[in-house]
Amino acid sequence: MWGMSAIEEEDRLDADAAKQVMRRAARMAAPFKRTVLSAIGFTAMTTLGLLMGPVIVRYGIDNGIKPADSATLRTAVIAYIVVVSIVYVSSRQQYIFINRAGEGFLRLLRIRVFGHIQKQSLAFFDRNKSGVLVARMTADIESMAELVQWGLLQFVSAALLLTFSFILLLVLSWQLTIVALLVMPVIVIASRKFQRDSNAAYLDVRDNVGSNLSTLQEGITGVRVIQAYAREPEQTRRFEESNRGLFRSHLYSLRVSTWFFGLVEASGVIASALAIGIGGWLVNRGDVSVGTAIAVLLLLAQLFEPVQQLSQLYNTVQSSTAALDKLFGILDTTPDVLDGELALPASGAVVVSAVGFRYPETKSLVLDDVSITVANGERLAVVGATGSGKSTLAKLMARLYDPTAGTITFGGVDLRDATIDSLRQRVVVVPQEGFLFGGTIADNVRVARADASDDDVRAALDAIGALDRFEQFEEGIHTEVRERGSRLSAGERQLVSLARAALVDPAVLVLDEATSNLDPGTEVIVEHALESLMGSRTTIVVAHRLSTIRRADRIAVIDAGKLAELGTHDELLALGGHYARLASAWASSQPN
Amino acid sequence: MTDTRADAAKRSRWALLQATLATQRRNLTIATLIGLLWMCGKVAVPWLVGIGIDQGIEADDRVWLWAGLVAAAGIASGVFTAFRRYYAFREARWTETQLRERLFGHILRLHIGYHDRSQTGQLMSRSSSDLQQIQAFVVMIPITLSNLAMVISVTVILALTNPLLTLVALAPLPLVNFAGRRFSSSIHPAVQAVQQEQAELATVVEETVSGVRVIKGFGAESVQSAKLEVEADDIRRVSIDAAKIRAKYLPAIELLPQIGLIGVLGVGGLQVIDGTLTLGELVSFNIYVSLLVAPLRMLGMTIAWGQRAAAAIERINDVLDTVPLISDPGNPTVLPTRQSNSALGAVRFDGVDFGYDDDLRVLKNFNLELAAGQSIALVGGTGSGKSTVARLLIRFYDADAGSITIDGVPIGDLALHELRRAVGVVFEDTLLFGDSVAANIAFADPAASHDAIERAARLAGAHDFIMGLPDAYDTQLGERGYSLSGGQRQRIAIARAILADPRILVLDDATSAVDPSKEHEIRSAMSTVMDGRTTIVIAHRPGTIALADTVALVDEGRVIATGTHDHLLATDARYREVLAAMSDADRAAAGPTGLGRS
Repeated sequence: MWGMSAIEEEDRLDADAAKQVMRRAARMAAPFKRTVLSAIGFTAMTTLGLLMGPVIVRYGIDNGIKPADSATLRTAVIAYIVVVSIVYVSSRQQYIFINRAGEGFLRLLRIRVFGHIQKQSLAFFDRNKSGVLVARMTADIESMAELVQWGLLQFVSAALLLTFSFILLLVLSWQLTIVALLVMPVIVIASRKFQRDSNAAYLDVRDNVGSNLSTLQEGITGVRVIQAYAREPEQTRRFEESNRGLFRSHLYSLRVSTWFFGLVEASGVIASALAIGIGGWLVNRGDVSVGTAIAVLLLLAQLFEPVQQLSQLYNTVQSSTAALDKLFGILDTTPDVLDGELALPASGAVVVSAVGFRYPETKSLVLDDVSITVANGERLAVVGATGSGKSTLAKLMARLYDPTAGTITFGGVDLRDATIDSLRQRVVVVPQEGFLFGGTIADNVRVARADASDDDVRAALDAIGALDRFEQFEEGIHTEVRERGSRLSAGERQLVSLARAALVDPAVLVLDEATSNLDPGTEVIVEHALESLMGSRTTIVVAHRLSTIRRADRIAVIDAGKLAELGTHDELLALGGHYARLASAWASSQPN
Repeated sequence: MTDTRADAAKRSRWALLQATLATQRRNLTIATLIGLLWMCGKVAVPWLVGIGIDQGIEADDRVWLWAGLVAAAGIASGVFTAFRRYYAFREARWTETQLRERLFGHILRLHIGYHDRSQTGQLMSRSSSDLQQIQAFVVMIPITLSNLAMVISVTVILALTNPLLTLVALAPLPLVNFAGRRFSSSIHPAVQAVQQEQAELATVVEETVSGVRVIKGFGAESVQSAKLEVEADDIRRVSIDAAKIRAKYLPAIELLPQIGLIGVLGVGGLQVIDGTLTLGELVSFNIYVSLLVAPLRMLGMTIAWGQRAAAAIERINDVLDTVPLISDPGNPTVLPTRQSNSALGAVRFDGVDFGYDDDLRVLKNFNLELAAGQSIALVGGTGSGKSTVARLLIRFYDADAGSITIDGVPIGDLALHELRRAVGVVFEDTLLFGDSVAANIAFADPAASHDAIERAARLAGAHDFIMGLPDAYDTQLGERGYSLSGGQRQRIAIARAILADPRILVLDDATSAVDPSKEHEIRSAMSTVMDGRTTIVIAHRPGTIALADTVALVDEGRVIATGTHDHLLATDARYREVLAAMSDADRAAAGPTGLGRS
């Protein structure tokens, strides 16, 4: 249950923080100022119109019915019809305007937060679990939709109704206003208690729903293990436990909230009773007219519903503020890989000098004082044990991270001084697995260069010898790859991934050699594609296969973050060090 | 088969709900009775207000008596409002709770073939959002009953007092009900459209976050931003469409009763002038009209909710009506127990045929015999059927033909519980539950002592890393807990199998996720566990083959050769071929010691 306190802390803001969040949201909503003002205008009109009802009834009673003047009564009825028609029109408009503003705001928030997430370096994505980032962009923003759709509107109209009613009451009769003042404090105190309790109950319910869902999910996804160990009864018992916990928390939330609805109901009627008592007394003293007493009675009947609505809104407002706070947290994270100003030259050597690297918030160095010069057109294989830092070195060369010490230059320009655009044109990383996005094959190749034409895409596929394979599909390169490319085989996904690199036509290629196993037919095609992609380009390949290593010009052996050995295959074998040991281990493991 | 199931669902659509509600009959009756009392309180208020105005204010006669009575009726209706709400919601939550437990229990008992075909998300929404729909409907049962009672009694009271004015006042109210229904049915697709667009945006975000390396590598941020903008625009568009529907109906629903109020003022006012109506009656008509608005609006919603609940019940019935295809036999046999010195755990597959789909045979006339205590490695290419063997042995699926016996007993004659306790399987992918390390190991026997757990962990080579975890054996694992590496998870799974102490052990590629440098540790742990125990090793890597006494080469669903590793290597060309493919895969995956992936 250690999770619960964490959740509460995360989801509850103190009043000051909440105010700050709200102010910032208001600043962000500035572009929608006019729409919001129109919405508020229409809401005010609607509210005033609704309040006119009792006033018109009073006029009808005092000036029409009492003096038996049917013409005045008719005037009152016509005025009532006009007011209701105006209210209908303005009420429609308030919905439309507030939604236009609110949805516009959410759209802006979605685009901004997403843009900002994309500006972050890989280190940010290492730190933040992908599920959390997705939740920020979906659940957190969606939690505000309710507020936008009707919450804000209800809030404004309830507040206006209360204010206007109070003013109207004072105008009608200050003595009868006392009636409202007698009952209101009870409601206000009660609704504060209701807010506090129901908020706690809400968090408790949400926590229980969460753990119930995860027990449920565990049961469904783990059904194979559960059945294999004949654990169905025990697992069902555990589920029942969490399910009953959820039921109890629902009951608790009911208990702390239910009395409030009764209280509001009773208070409304008690206020009417007081209006009759005090009103009758005042009427008979000749202080107020019967119409006024009745108008107050009807007004009071309208007054208690908004109070109830305001209290129910409280939870929505709170969770929205918490969600906004988390989103602002993302917007406040400064990207740590920043754009430089220089354009990289068309070709040149990659020079790694005295580079050190450590991941943020960790102590141990992943790379320590590594220096290598990769000449223009050279092919360098990087080998090393698990965790030696060889993949990190490759990532630094493509500036997916910045080194914490030393520099990496291309053609004499420090990568940190280069514009990201020119960097991505010169240096391309091909990840191990062919990761595909939703869309067609062509869309996926075009990830590398958004403005590429279909012909460019075909040329890129052709350059790696993969065009024929995809043209065989019924829809050719416009075949939808389906979710995560499930339409394609693993090898085909890698081909698409390689075609991306071919489309960019970079000077430097950084390859993390694929380790997954392909069927022999595809394997040959992929290897051929790789070979034509590397061609005479400067290539840094994190190698896993002996064949790849042997085809490299030089080999760098990384051991525990340091450059242990550097040289050709033969040189390193002759050296009799790390590489020689690795190579002989390799040879002995070959099948007999 | 699907047809009969659909028929059954139609027939029993409400039967399930009726059966569940029947157990709650007493409390639902109480809730309805409270609702009737609530109704009396509510109906009394406008009537007393009317008298209060006529007698108290106009005639100046005991005004505080009438005011007091109004207050008393108000307190009564307040109290009953609270109780009505409490009982209605409590019973609805209880219905939901009961149904969810039934559903969960049933899902766990359903055969694995069913789970292969159904998606986790689907089953999840059966037990969450579908049950919510039902819950929302059950709440409405007692509330709607008392609302109906109120609508009828108010109509009768008004009609008896003044038929003409009743007609004028109540005429617009059915329209409230009508508009409420129209609103519910037209907002529903709009809301679904919004959810659909939200899901599409989520897909873009998700692929961006998972594919961030590709995006960063090619500087494709703007491509993804453009995609997201399209989705964000779509969400805004459909949300505003939904808002337009709200704008059309909600103000109308809100304002329709006002027409009645205007009618009361006009027609009633003239009647008061004529002297056929009192001012107090006019006001009470006015209040009665307002009183009926909420119940009528709710009636409209109840009907829409009822339709949605019916659809939800149908979906839930689909699950509950599915009969588990694998279940206990009528008269279970028990496995022979240890007698003097004869070992236990002989396994025999005899002419077994099996396919996951009707048209694709995975095992064809599969024969395999293991003496008690013997260990065998199944070796074969991808799709050879070797992993299916384990699934048949624990009856995740039933063979289409042939027989499988353990110690001479056909597995179909055993209670599932006994069979599955007799066979321990270490799966290819390890699933850990959101519980402590100790509880995860003691999965087969939650009552196991700490010593037994630690012994199992030691044997699996897991004790040392467990002691290094923040809370050692009490460390919470699973989605919300501490995450372990692949190799660590594997060792927990092995410890789990050891603790179960099965007479037959099946290891499915148990070392695939293990760091190469730790592999030999696990192999030695496994050989300790296998000692004297019937074991089937489903080997995906050359190293694991050495664990077993003999090797069976599986190809195209049959055992095509049996013998020792050396013998097969020397005599069987296909074996050498499979082994070579396996070594390649192995090397590509991890490399020889030291040259692993980083």
